[in-house]
Amino acid sequence: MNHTAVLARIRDWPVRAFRRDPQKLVVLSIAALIAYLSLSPTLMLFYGSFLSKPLGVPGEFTLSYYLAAYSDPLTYQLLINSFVFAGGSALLSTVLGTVLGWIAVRTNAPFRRFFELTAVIPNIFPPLMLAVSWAILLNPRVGLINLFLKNLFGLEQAPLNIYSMTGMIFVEGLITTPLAFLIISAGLYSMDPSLEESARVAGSGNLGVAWRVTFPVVRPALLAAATLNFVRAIESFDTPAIIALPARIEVFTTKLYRETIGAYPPNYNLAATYAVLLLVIAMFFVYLYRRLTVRSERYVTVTGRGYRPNIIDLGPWRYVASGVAALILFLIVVLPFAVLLYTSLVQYVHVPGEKTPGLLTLEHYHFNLTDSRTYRALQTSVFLAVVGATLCMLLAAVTSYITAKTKTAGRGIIEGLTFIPWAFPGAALAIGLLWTYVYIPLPIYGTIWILMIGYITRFLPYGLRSMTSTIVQIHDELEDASKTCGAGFLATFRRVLLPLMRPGFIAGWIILATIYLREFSTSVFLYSPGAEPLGPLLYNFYADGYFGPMSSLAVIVSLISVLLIMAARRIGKVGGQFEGG
Amino acid sequence: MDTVKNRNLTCLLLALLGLVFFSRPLQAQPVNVEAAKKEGKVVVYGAVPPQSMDVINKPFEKKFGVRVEYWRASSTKVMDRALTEFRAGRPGFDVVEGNRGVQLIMKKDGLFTKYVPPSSEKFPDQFKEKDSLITPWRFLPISILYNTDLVKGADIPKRFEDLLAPKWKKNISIPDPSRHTTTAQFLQELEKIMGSKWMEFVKALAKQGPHMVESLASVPNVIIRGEAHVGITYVKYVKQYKGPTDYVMLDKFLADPNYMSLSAKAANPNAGRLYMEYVMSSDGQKAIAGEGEFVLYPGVNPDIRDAEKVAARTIFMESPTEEEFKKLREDFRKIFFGK
Repeated sequence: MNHTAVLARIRDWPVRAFRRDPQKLVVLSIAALIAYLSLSPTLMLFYGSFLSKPLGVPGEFTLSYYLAAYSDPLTYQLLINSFVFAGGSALLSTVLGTVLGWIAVRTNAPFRRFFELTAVIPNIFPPLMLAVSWAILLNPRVGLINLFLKNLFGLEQAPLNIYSMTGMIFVEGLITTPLAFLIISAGLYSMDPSLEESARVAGSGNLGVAWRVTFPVVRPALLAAATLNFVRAIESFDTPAIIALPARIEVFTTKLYRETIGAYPPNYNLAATYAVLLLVIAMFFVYLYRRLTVRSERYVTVTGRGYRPNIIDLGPWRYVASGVAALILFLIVVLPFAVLLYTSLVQYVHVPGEKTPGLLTLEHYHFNLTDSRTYRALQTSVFLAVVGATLCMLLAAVTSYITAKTKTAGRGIIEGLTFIPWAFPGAALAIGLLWTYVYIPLPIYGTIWILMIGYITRFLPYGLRSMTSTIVQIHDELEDASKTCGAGFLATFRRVLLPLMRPGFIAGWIILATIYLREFSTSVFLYSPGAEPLGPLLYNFYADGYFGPMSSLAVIVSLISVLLIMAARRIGKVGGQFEGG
Repeated sequence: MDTVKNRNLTCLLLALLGLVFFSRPLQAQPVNVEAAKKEGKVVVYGAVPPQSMDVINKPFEKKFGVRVEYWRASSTKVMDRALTEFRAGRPGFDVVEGNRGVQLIMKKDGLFTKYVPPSSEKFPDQFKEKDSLITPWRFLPISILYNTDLVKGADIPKRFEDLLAPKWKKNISIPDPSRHTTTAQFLQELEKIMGSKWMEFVKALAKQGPHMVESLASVPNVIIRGEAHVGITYVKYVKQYKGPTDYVMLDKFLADPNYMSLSAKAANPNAGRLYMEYVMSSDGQKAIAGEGEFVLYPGVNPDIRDAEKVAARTIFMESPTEEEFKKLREDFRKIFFGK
């Protein structure tokens, strides 16, 4: 073979490889993309954790940050507090999300569609804002609920105190319930109720069916929700900042913030060092999750035999179910939203009373609707939400297929890679991205695309969990049948798998779009002058004490989110297709 | 021999003259308005809320036809971004605004070039920086704020020590000094008011069980909604926050000065100079004072009761070194979080 022929063979290799085994090429491309997205900022941070000076400043190799971080006994004491906080809130959110999901998706409880639509609303509020709302409701001195209870029962002391570990768990649990609900409801949508019917025929009651059939089938989704919410609580800064500080409770991120991001000057080398521990914790939970769901065949329910899920008739209990769902939604949606609505309509926050009518105003809405910066922020964030969530979910769909349905070597590594940037606090990841793109000579730094890359990198695990919990329930026989009929990998993926993944895809898209619409901690470092997204705008309103404009903007954003969710559900036709089976 | 002596003497005289000439503070530099207009835009990184900066930015854009791109974050985040970009050789900013501490760090890293806006020549001499690399333009005095619906007459504290009375137990709001830099700096600088007793005061304040929050900006909201009746924070918030608050007229006010500086690698240096000059001008200073900010232009005060008295009683806080800050925060953590 001559020289030219060799070169031609090398040049044509990708085409030939694709023709011969398109699946392998897709796997390799996805692996490369995910490795790039997650490793580039992470490696920059890791590299920085071993340097005595920030990147760009001459320094030397050092282990001093690791010694400082991990030789301090306080690190471990606070880690115990963090585990209590994160474990409690993950448990609470998973229980609430499961109950709400089951009632809204699988029963004939009245108003279930309304419950389903409203359950995701809190997801669009910055967690900080929800924590502030609960502080307004449950603070011991002038908390609105406490005042109400004191008046009702003639109490001397406030019966409830948000400034405690229980208060922190309660607030964080409620903040993360919508995420648990979305993941679990996607799993519930995808399951085949013929299993439940069989159990019922065999004599099980509704609760027995739920416990023996429904629960094991949706276990991957439950574990996914609990894992994500646990890790989210471990790395949470906002709830501890609002609730733990007045209570003088310290958690791991309190120390991390104090010594790194909030230090003078901030020390991101040390932040990366601490983030390693968060990373190890996140990785452990990924491992645990994979161990518990490795026998995914056990949960396979969507098969070629028929796919007609139906809903469970609860009889007269359906009203009780509606009452329970309404109570949960009252806690996660109505109360915090009522506080936001109230603060958006008064000149300043006060205990409602005689002076309230004189303080009512629409000026905050007028401010938002006539402010050009608000319009620009809305444009930027809606673009990031729609395009970013779609791109991220496409990536998540292919990735979850690789990790859950193929025997490709290293699929665990691919899944693990997606969790790496997510285990870092948002601010630390943003610094990693900043360091990466400020040094890489690509026209990304200073544009909206750095935000897009940041969002996709950080929140890919959310999309992935949602997709994986759906995809493990799809039996291989459908894919095999498609291939037997002559369809290639891409045709099978597009025409068989993607439609079946639709519930998970739409659920994930909704999670991501609502998060992207108000994302703050990554955005604040990366947005360019003139392209401020809604998250930093909302946070800056809060930080500057502009409570009214912040609340009115949050109300406006929540309406936009509801529109986005409705559009997504219409496009995905989630809900209607499964009814009446 | 005499010729050599004379030559040495001449050299010495010339050197002395040169020393005298070059050691003088840099004179104000005129601004090339046409060149600024040609550049068309100025990129500013700052810590002032955009809605406050709009009173400067919008008239500036209208007057000169130069667009202002304003990126806002906390002083430390502004520094992070500016330093990262500068070290990578891709500075996206022309002008940086922030408190003294972060400006000194950026100055040390060589981010700024010398520039004295002509209008800043009118500022009081004691506030001028000798090296002309950073220019002060506003300051933020700290006092006790209280809820005027809940605290009246003789109950209103008159000095910081009054906060140690039993009636204020669990009723004071302050930022957590173990995480909030300016609060840590403020507590240490109380030495300028209380002398060596400042640390005793800090320990007694911690025993009062204050309602701690993340920053000085969070304190007024806690006071307005009545979770705490008094708090320590910036005087300017009585103007900037809606609600029943007033501040205590102290004998001395500690203040955090803020500065503006021109990037050494500005893409729009003329627009940057023009912007800084406009901010320091009578128009710019009056506009931002209208937003409740204390400024340095003679005779310009914010629309706050007795603002001129506050300005006259103000002492600028010194910035501790990085090591001093670290030690302070560790000490304050033990004091405020110790069981």
